[in-house]
Amino acid sequence: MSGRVAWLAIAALGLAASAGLGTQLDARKPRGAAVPVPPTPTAMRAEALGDGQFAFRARSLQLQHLGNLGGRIVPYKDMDYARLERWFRRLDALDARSDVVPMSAALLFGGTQTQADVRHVTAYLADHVRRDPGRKWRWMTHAIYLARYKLDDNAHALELARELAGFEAPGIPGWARNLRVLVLADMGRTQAARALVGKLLDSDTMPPAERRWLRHFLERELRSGGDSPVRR
Amino acid sequence: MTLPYILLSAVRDRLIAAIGIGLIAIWLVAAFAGSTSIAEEGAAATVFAGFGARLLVVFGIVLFVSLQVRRLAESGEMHVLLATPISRTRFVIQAWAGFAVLAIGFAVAAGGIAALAGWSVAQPFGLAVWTGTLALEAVVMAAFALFVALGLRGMIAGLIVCLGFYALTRMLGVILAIARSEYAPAEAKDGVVGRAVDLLGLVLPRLDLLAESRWLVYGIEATGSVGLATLQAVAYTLVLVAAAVFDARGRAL
Repeated sequence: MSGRVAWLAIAALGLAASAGLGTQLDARKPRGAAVPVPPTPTAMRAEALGDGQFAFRARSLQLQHLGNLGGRIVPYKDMDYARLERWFRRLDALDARSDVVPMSAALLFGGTQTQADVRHVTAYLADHVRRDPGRKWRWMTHAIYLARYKLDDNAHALELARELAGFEAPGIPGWARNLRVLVLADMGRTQAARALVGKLLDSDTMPPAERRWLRHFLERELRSGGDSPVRR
Repeated sequence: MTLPYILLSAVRDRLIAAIGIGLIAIWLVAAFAGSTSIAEEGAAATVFAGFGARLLVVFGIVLFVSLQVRRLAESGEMHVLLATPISRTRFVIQAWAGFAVLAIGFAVAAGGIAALAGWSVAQPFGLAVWTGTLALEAVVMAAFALFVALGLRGMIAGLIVCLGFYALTRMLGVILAIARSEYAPAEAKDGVVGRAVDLLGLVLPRLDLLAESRWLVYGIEATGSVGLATLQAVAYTLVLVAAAVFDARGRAL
């Protein structure tokens, strides 16, 4: 009987030691960059036992939470946007039909106030649209907005607006083809955000999640007219 | 080992209950993980559920086949069943057919979970083809596990072989892509390694082309490779069953 009690005591001590070590581990800061180097599409497929779509969905979730993982919150200004752009493009190589990556790029990471970083987002969004303008045109409207109001680069915004107007794909509404007006008009940022989101929300085919995030985006843009958002 | 015997064993070993509970757990985790996605939550949940359910079904059937054969060998029933060459043939085919029925049932349940996780069936045809080819994938693995379990005496070694085979066949497309990549070293392309990879591509079934999660989201975009991969899996199953019969008939008791 005493032998059994001794083993029980050893087990209890082991558990206590494990909990103590766990507390120490909890206290340690996470290592590694907030935005790690993205794996290649082949490596992502291999990790998922050849299931490219699973790799895409799992890594998209990781992308969406980059900078907010491992018990730390990293502001956008401290994130490596060149790497983020590589993440966007590599995930597109797995699935360019999905809207998860452009949505993360435009509505999450587009929230940065660092102009050089915004350029990575607009470059990706424009390339994403060029693959399939008929289905993806609305991400170009975000790229135009970012170029006009975050980059303050009217020439770039106009160039993107002209490109959007010139796509021969059906299904692009007239207002989107005339976004040059948004660039050329002397419209304030919040007014432009309100107008753009209003037009985008008019679409009947927009998925509910995107609708929700657009409203969140608009609220953030309206707020940032005065107050600062949490993660700049 | 007839179908009723296998089904009874599956119930007795709590395999059916374990797969059922496992699928429900996968559904809940997938629905939660999918709901955290910034967009296309249903698609993410369906894909997560499909991936988890696929692993559960394949590992479950492989483990069950290995255990059943091992149990028969240990109880001495195998000696009685394999007493004559004719009964050996019948034994192998009956056993494979029984395991195949179980595998198909599990695959149908996995398809149900994949559909439920997304709360709506966005691609009914894609889901049907995914479920059908997952069933085929599980049937191939049941045949392979039976072949290995009858040939290898050690159960752990057999399980390792089966799981290694599964990982290899699921990753065959990736391995071939790496070997044929523009940037692959010359040795990987034209040397011994390259030839070995080409040989693997010829002798192993392309399970990575079956039950693609993409079909659950976008439906079937091109039917060519699906049909060919399905035919290859059917042919490979025949090869495995024939090899198991050949091995069983030539085996000394």
